[in-house]
Amino acid sequence: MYIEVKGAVKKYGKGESEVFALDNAELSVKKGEICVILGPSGSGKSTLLNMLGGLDKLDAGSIKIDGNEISNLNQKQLTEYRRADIGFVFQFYNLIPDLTVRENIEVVSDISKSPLDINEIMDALEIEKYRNRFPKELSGGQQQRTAIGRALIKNPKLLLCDELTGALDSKSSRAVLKYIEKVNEKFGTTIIIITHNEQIRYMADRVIRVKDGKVVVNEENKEKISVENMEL
Amino acid sequence: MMNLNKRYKRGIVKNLSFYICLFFLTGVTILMFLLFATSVNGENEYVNEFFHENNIEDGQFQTLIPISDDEIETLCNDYKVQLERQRYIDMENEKEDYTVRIFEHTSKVNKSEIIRGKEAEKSDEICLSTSFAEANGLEIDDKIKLNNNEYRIVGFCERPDYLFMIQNQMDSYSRASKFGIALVSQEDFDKFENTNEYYSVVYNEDNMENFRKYVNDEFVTVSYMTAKTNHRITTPRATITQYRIITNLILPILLLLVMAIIAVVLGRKVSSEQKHIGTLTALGYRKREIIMHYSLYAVIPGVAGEMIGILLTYAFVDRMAGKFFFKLEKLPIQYSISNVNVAIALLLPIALYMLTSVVTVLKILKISIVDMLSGNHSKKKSGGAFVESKMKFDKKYRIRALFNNLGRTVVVILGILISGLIMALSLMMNDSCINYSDHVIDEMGKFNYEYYFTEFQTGEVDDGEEMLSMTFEVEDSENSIILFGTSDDNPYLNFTTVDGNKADLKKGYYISSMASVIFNVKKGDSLEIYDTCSLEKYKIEVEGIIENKAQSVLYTSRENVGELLDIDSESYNLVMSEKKLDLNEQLVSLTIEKDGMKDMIQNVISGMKMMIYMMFVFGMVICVIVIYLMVNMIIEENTVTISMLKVLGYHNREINRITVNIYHVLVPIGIILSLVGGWVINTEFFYISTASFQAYIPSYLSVFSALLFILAVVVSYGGSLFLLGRKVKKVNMTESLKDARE
Repeated sequence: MYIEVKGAVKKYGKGESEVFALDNAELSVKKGEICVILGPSGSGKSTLLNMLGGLDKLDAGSIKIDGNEISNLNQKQLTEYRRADIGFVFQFYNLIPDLTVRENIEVVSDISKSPLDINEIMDALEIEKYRNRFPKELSGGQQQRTAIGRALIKNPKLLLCDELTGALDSKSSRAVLKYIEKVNEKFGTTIIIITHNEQIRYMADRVIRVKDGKVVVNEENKEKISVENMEL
Repeated sequence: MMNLNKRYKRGIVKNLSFYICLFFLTGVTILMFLLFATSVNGENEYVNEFFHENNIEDGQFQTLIPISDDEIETLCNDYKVQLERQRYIDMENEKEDYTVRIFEHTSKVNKSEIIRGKEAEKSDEICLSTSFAEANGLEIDDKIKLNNNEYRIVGFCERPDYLFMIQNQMDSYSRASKFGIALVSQEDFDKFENTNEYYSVVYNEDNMENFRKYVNDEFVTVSYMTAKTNHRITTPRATITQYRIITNLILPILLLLVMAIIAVVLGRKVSSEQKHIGTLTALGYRKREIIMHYSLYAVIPGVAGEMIGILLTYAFVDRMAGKFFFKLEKLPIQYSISNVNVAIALLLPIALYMLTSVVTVLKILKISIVDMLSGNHSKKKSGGAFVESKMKFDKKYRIRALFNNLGRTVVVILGILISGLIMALSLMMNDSCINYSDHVIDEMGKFNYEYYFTEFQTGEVDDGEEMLSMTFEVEDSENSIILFGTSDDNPYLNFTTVDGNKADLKKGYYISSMASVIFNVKKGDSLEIYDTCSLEKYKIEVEGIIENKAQSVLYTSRENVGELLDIDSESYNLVMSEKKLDLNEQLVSLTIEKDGMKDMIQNVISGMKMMIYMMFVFGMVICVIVIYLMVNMIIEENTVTISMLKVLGYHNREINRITVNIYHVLVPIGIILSLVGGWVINTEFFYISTASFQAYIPSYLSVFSALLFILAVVVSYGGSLFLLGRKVKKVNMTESLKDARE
């Protein structure tokens, strides 16, 4: 397994206000899979993503990525882990407003050891013609494609997408998901998508359901269909 | 990093007004600091060198029995002193109403130096002191008529003992257009009749007392004045010392405060980047890279401001530096900006700005990445006062904005306080001098003229009050004091003591309020004075303090003076009068007009005007910029709130009231603090300057100036808000709401 999470516990608050965001969560994902994590608000799916991305640390349990334990890495090691292996796509894009599309992507290529060709990425994401535009001059879909480009430029082993279509209309959502599908096919990148949108599970190789901090379903998707044929 | 660093330029362009404010404020503060420091250092070095090179006297005296050249030679050898006769004559130009004191060339003590042009070598050639020539529009090759002689100006000269160009020792300020010194050829000088002379001495060993005693015994000293009590010599030193206090203490504090304000503003700017810092961290940027990026963000306004300040200093230093020393002769000083000060100007802002930036980033980096990304980490205290109160929302919001952001509130108060202090201080200095000239001088008494006689007189003078007067040196002081012997019913003097009683002069000795400040004596204290000629000491018990802020005087009855000095108390050597008296000119050594004292203060005011205007404008600029920066910050930090209020249907005016105008309440607080602080500093400044100014100038602020000050603060504040009003209008409802997190 490429990702193995065992007995993951994450608590917030203390005493009476203590809340288990992750409560003995366990999951596994194979290399090159698209994995969709579903669950209601507050179920712990974002916490799980943050743990996988090395943004936060577990209180207990273990997370192995490609055989390496990351739950005991210190902050410096976690930075190197994110720098080398992880691509992030956020719901609200988190682009730097005073950098153009190209420059936002280059912000990551600047710190990558072997970045992909930026023109190829922009071509693939069809944002080449907007390369000199600033985020505020783009639609939500275009901004999210830029964010995907920024995440992909380093050719990450693991792409983590947090509600990547949450702020988009159905047309833009489909376009963005198609790129994700394309990336998975082209680069074999393992992709984790967390979402509220049940429809997105159809594009997944694996579906995980989270409830009250526990993984309640972790199964391969036998009914996988292409994004093109999905209803959104 | 290369691409990330493109943000610098764009960030500056996008927030141009913000950065211009930072550049300008940094630049102007550095300009003030460097200009003052360069001016004071240049003047200090030049004056010290000038004194040394031209062998300034340690003392000067007159004797009843003239000292011959041979005797001078003997005295020099016996007492290891440098002694030289100083001869001069005062010549007038009645048409132009000025006096020129022509000195004979000296070779040992108080040597003259040609500042420009050449020496007067031939007959009818003359060298004039610079300020006098400039004030009267006289240039080289111009002609000047003195008495009945016409001279061609061939150069400009200065003497070390006349850098503070006063005609009489009792004058407080120079009047460049009315009095100057000059040098003519020896041939011309020898033609003068009735020249005055005194002796100037420089002690090479610690034997002043023995020398003075010997001179008094052998040649009968008529008057002796040490360099420490000679205002022409002490004033340049005292003036430089005063400005050194400003340069070494007040300006660095001001510089540090302004830099601290900017640093706080920059810190908050970096703070507002929390989400981007989170994103960069999530993308794998290292702590060091993020710190480096944001440090440079802070360095840019520092470097740009410093460059502006330093370049402006280089551009203006020659024209402006000498203006601070308007009281003194204009010297050909080559001002050079000290490397240490340039280093301070270069390093301090950058260091402070970078430090703030680094500390802010480090603080942010302690927040969990998830919180950084969500932007939900609380930077401010949440909640606040009046939770249960039925007070309107807008009032609650404003109160909480003030108290939940105490740092920001303190910076605003500090900004208004500093700028207000500068403005208030400039107006108070101006008003205090005007008030002194218009009222305080008159409070001395009704006299308009003081006539000092060459020797004691007897008999009565019509329309005048006969008095005894003697100058004394004071133990452990660099200042002298005049003893007045007069009667209690002298109609020309005011004998009301500071505690409101009438002085009884027969009972003892009273001191003027100015002298009480200079010598730090109170009622009941004793003062040791000694005769400048015989060096005989007297201990005086001070019975009380008489309100007189314009003269350094001890008052007592003529009988007491007679008894103290063993002289005829019926005689007199000073006459005071309300109107001009027709006295024998040969007998009068010195005439002091009260109007002259007022003129001198007026000269000071006009000389200070440029500095006062500069201070006032500088204060307004700081006020506008600080308010602008802080309110700009509020708008940026509250974009979402402003946007939301717009969505909810609030008008811009209402939004301004709720979010932007929260500092209205701080303006009166700032005004009151500035006025109180300005008053304290002004009072202290004039108090410690009493000896140097030879005037005890009380603090005063006219109603007009107070209103002008309040108006200036309000206009500066209102002006900033007006400029920022447009910024509120520009906040886009959809854009800012779109950025809000779930």
